Amino acid sequence: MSKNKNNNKKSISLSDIVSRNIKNRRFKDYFTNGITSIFSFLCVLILALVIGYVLVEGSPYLTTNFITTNYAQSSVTLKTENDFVLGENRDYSDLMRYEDTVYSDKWGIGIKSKKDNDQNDIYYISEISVNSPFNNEMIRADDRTIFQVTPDFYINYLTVRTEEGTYVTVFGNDDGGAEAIISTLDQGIAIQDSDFKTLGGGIRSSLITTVILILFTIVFSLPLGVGGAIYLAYYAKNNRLTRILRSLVDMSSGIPSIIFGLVGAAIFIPIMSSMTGAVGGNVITGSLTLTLILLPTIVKTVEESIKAINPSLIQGSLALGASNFQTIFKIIIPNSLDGILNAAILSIGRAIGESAALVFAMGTLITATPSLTSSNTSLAVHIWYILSGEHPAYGQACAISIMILCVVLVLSIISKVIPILLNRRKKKGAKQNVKPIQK
Amino acid sequence: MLNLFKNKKKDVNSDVNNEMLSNDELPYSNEYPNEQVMFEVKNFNFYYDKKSKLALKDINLEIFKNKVTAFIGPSGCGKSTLLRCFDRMNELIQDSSYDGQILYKNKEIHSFNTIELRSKVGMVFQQPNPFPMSIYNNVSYGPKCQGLKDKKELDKIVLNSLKDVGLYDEVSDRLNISGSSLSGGQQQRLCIARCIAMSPDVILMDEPTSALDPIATQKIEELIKKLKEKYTIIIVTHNMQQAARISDYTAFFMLGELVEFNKTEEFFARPKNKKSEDYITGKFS
Repeated sequence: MSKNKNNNKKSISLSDIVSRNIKNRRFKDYFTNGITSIFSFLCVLILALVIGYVLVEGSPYLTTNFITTNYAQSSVTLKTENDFVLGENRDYSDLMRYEDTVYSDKWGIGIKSKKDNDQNDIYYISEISVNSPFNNEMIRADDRTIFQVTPDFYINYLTVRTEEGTYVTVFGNDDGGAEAIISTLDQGIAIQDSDFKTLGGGIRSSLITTVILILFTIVFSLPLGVGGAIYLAYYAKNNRLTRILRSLVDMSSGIPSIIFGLVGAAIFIPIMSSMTGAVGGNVITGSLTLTLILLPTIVKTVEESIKAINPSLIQGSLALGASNFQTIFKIIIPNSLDGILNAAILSIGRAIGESAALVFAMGTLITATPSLTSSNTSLAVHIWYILSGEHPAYGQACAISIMILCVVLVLSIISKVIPILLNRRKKKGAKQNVKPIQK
Repeated sequence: MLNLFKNKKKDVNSDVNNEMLSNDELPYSNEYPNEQVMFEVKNFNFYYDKKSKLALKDINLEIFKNKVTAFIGPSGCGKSTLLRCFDRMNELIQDSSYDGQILYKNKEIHSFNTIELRSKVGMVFQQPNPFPMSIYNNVSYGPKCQGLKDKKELDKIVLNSLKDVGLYDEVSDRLNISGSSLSGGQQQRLCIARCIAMSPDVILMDEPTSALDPIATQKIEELIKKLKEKYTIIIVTHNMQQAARISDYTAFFMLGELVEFNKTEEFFARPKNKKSEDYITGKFS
């Protein structure tokens, strides 16, 4: 009997189980769905926060000045050659007298304010009359040559000698502004000492260097990568050596870039210095190091797209008596163009974003003029540099980040658009102007 | 997987290195005294996978000038393999090897440069494979690869080739469009035109109509009959009726061996071999 009971208990029909478990299962569904949504929302939120922070912090700093000026300032110390004789009749009628400019009728100059790359007010001489002592009577304190002040220079400080023989100094960042500078100037009969500076803190040279770096990286890495991909896809025999080579290529895409930077610094910099006499890293060693980093990715990307080519096209070309070389350049490369362009975009993105390897291989010295044989910085290394100092400049770093993000955005859009354009071209047929043949 | 590396292994019988003959000097066959021999296959063996798989066993065969020779046989019998041996396309397959001889115009084919051989022996594939470029560029691809740059000469070649395959009237006003935008039958005729543009001696066809509809097939068959006035044609086909319709000679293969070679009418009317008879009557396929 007891056995029978047990049997009855165990024999529950499937529909019973379903109805019993339905609540439980529905709860589990809600739970997993909820967790997935929360995590994906979190991911988007974090991304939005990062981009939002960068945009908010960086956008005030992103000015034309910031992009067009160099990081380093140059300064010049000037004084007047002769004393300024009071009552001397100078004709300043050629001044334009703008409303936003403060003019000194004694010295014949106009002073204007603008923002520097740290968002501080700075004052510069915007207008100089032809007869003003500033026009051709100011000499450098060190070598006593005549120096013409241009609007690129802003006023750091001015020390004037008054008639009584006392000295009055005014600083460009004093609270009084342009008026204070003018009133101090007007007290004096001569400028005893002055310091003018050009704007600094900009990214002009880093920007140019980045462009050069990208160009060199593509020039070095793309032909090598495409060649390697063609070799792996069509030339390498399927033996153990090839398999080892292939897995090494796969593996090397996982090596941290700083190790490549180390190798680049240890190998390329000595070679470059022995060839060109350059000291330390430069754009070429940097792009060679980037090439090392990028090659595995390029080889993989291009090989995938080469393998997708219909082999009967290649056979057809060979069967028509085309050589391997002709087949590669007329069939294989044109038909894997999307992969090659994708690889190029990947390399551009990587060249812009890479910093760790370049700190070693290219150097961290921000110079005024981009040069192929001296240390320069790319934008990413520029960020690293300005954040690693005693007073990290977060705002400027964010401004550079905005530029990098924009480039990355544009690149990803291009990489989406390219396959569409290529497909359209394939459908239309090659755009070559072939005239209809006359009968 | 294709492999573009050249096979470094030299021909085992390379000591026989006769002079290549011109089209008029070709020797007459012993068995068929009216026919001039274009290709002569002598004791030819072909192996895949480092000699572990024998695909062709001791083939002896003659291909006659300006005739259509059909290779028939069940799947995997080696007919396509033999066809691809004539223009050495099999060398693209890794770990393949051969012994024996194939003489093209009395000269061993392995003593040719592949580029030279393939410009004389054209090939049409099973699937139409026009290059993804304009019709004009498709047809002028071969001559351009050989270094012909004269625009007028190229125009003439393209025009004549397209006319020969009967494609000119259909596409004369749109030579700019991509070759792959044509219909299947037109694509295959474009591939034949591309082949003719090289003015070859021989055209190898590897089941050229198996991917086409009956009307396109009929057009290609008519084209083949027309082309044999100028070219020697070898065609691999699965379709016995097709072989009977268009070919002059038929070679029947089975399991890598040449079972029977005969005039097509003879072959289908009075097969000499029991196996051929069984195949023709449909006892196996």
